[in-house]
Amino acid sequence: MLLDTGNFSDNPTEVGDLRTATLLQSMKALGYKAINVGERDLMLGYDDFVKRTAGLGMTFLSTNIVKQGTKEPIFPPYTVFEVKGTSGKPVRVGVLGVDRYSPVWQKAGPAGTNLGMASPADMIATYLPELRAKSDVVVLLAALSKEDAHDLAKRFTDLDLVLGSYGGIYNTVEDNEGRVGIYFTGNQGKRIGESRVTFDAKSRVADVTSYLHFLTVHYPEDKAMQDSLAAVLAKMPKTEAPKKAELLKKQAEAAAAPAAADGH
Amino acid sequence: MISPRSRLQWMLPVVLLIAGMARAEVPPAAAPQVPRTLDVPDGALVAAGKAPELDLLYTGDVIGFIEPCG
Repeated sequence: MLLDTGNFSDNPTEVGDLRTATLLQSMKALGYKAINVGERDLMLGYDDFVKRTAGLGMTFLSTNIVKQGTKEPIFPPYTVFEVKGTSGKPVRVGVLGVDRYSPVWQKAGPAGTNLGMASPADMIATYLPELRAKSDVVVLLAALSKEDAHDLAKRFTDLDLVLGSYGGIYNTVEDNEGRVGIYFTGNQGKRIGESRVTFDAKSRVADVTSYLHFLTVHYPEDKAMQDSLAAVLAKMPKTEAPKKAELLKKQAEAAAAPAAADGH
Repeated sequence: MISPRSRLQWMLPVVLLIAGMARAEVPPAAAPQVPRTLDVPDGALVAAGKAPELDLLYTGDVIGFIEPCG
């Protein structure tokens, strides 16, 4: 099950919009289920966000982006996915998503309203009890600092995992606050976190083993995805495309080199 | 009447005995726990082992990166 902590959007320029749209299409193709809405993703306000994400079929959620001056969430404050576990039994995955608290953050909301950022702790306190009751495992997607993630994990012991991104910060070793695991994956899609979860007979989390995959050239490319990206890069303004196409070519050559050496 | 010197000779072993007992009751310091690395063992691309009931994969802050970024 694929999740994203948000801030997937590039700058709102012609090239940036193309990249963001392509990234979202790729995330859909990869099967991402839930995405926390980050501050960057609302750079041009709610209406623009809705236009850019319409019809993708992924759940965009935020527990603490609210109608300004209230505690009314604008997006779904949480979501529960029922997925089939390896054993065939259903597993209910509850997902919350928060951004760092900022009392001055403000963006255009729907129908002439404004968006504001409520305190993550206040909003988690509101929704976690009902989400916990509906879920076998509860995950918090966190676009905030590691220190804030620790504070939230310390306070909300009903969480199972805090999965975070905040600039280039990433874990190299396991990190936790009590029983709550905390994993940061860095930025720019260079790394992908993995948490393998097992449950006891009462469907409670029994064990979590996590890894951080650094996506070097040793990880094989997906041919269809690579072709699709190459087609998008060809559409970019001439000043951008040659440079990026050259990078893609170099990466493909580097990936092919060890395979050739192995005789594959 | 016990002289100060005799009292000291009597008390010193007692004090040492009590100090020794107190020291013996202090639990040994726990060995520092080394957190487990998140690297996949043996440089593999995918960790070996039994498939978990649920496998969560996650990213964030991708900020529009769709191509190699160095």
